[in-house]
Amino acid sequence: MTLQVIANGLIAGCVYALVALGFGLIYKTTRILHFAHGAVYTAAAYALYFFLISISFPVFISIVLALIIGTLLGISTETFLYYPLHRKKAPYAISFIASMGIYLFLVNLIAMLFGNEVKIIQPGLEKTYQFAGIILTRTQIIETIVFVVVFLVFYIFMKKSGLGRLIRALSNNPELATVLGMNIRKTRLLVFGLGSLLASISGLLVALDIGIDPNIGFSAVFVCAVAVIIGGIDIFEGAVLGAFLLGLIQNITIWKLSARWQEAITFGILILFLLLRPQGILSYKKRMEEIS
Amino acid sequence: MNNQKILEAKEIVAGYNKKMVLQGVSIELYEKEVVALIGPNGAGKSTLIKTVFGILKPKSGKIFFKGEDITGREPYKNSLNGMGYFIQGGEVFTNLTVMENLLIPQYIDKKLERENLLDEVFSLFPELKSLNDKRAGILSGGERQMLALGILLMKKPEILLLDEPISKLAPIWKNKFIEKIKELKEKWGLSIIFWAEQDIPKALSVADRVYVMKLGKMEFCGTPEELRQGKKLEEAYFK
Repeated sequence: MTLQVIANGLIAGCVYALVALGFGLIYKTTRILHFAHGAVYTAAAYALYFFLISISFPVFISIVLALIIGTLLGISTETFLYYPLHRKKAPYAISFIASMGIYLFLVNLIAMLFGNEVKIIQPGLEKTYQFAGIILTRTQIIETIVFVVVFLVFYIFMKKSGLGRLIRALSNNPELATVLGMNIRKTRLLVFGLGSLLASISGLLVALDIGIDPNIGFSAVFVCAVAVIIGGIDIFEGAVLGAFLLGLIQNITIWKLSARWQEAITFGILILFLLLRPQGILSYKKRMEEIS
Repeated sequence: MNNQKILEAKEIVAGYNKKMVLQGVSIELYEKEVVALIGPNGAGKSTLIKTVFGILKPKSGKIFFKGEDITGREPYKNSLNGMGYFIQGGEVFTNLTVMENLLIPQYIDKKLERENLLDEVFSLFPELKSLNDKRAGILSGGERQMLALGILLMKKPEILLLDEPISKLAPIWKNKFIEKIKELKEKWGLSIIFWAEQDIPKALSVADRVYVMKLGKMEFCGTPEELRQGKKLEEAYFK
C-alpha cells in the first residue's frame, strides 16, 4: 500500500511539475504571477474534448490542435495584456489582478460553452499494469513517460541552447539583458509560448486521466505556485522538486486523512517554508551583496 | 583632434518625470578618445549617459552617433549599433557561468564572431579564463567588474559608456581597471566615456579630455592639464 501511495504521489507530481515549470518560467522571467496559466491549462483540456469527442477528429490531430490553442492563448495574454502593462511600467500587482480577470473570464466562457458538469474523455475502466506490487493505469504510464521526455527536452533546451541561455539571462538580470541589446519582447513571447505549452500538455494529461470541469485550473495553478516557492524560485528545476514533494504529501494525506485535507496541508507546507526556508529547497549560494 | 567625431549630444534637456535634471548639456566624443565626465553627486552625469544610450528620452536636444540622428532610439537598438553601456557596480548574470555570461552577446546578435573575440577578451582579462565554469554570482567585486566589461567587449562595441566603473573597487582593482581602459583605447581602438564622482586623479590620469558637470550644466571642457591649472574642479565640488 505504501509503495502504491508513493507511486500515485510521484505520478501526480509529474502532472503538477509540467504546470509548475511553465508557471515558474513565466514568473522568473517576467515577475508576473500568471494566474491565467490555470485558464490556459483548462482551455487546452477543453480544446481536446471539443476536437476529440464533440467533432470526432483523430486523436493525434486533436492533441496537436489543443496544444496550439493553449499555447496561442498564453501568447495572447502576453501580447494584449501583460506587455502593454509592462511598457506602461504598471506595478506587478496590476498584472496579477488583470491575470485574475482573464482567468475568470475564460473559465466562465468555457462553462457557458461546455457546461459546468464533469466531462470524461476516456469512459469506462482503463487497462492496468502491475509492477512489483504497484498497479498503474495506462494513462498514468503515459503521464510518466510524457513528463520524463518533456522535462529532459526542456532541461537540455534551457541549459544548452542559445535561446534557453537568453531566457535564463533575462530572468536573472533584465536590465543587463536590455543593455546588451536583447529584444525583450521576443524573448518574453518565447517564454509565454513555452510555459503555456507545458501547461497545455499537463491539461491534456489530466483530461485523459480523470476528466475535466471548468474549475480544474484553479487548484492546479495554486498548487504549482506553491511548488515553485518551496522548490526554489532561483532554479527552474526547483519547481519539479516542489511538485513531486506536493504530489507525495497530498497522496499521503488522502491515504491517512481525507482528500478534504489536501489543500490545507499544501498551504500549511507553504507557510512552513516561508517561515523556515523562504528561498526554497534549491537555491544558489549567494554573496552578501546579492542578498542585500 | 584629427580623429572623426563618433558621438555628439547637443543641448540636451532631460530628466525624470517633470523634473529636468539636464539643462542644455552638450558632449562630444572622438574616435580612439577617452573622456572623463566628472562632477559631484547630483550633477547629472548618469542622467546624461542614460539619455545618450536611450534609457531616458530627452525633452529637447539631439544625439548623433556615427553621424546618424539617434535621439530617442531604444537602448537595445543603440546596443546592437555599437554602443556598450557599463552599468554602475558591474552588472553580470549571477546565475550563469562566466563562459555563459561572455557568450550572451553572441546569442543576442548571431552575426558576431565568437572564437576570436573570446581569445581577445581572455587575453585582456586572463583571470577570467580560469574562472570560466564558475557561476558569476560567486566572483569577487573586482572579478565581477572585469567580467561585466568582458561581456560588453564580446559585443564588439565601437564606444563604451562606463558608469562609475572604479568607485566601489579595492585599490588594487582600481589600478588594474584604469590600465584596462588605457589598453582598450590603444590596442582595441575604442572610444570611451567614463564618469566618476570620486577617484578624480585616477580619472584624469587616463583621460584625453575632461568634462566637469554641476547641477545639470557643463562647467568645463578641456584637457586634464587645463583642468588642473584652473579652479573649475574645486568650484564644482566645493562651491
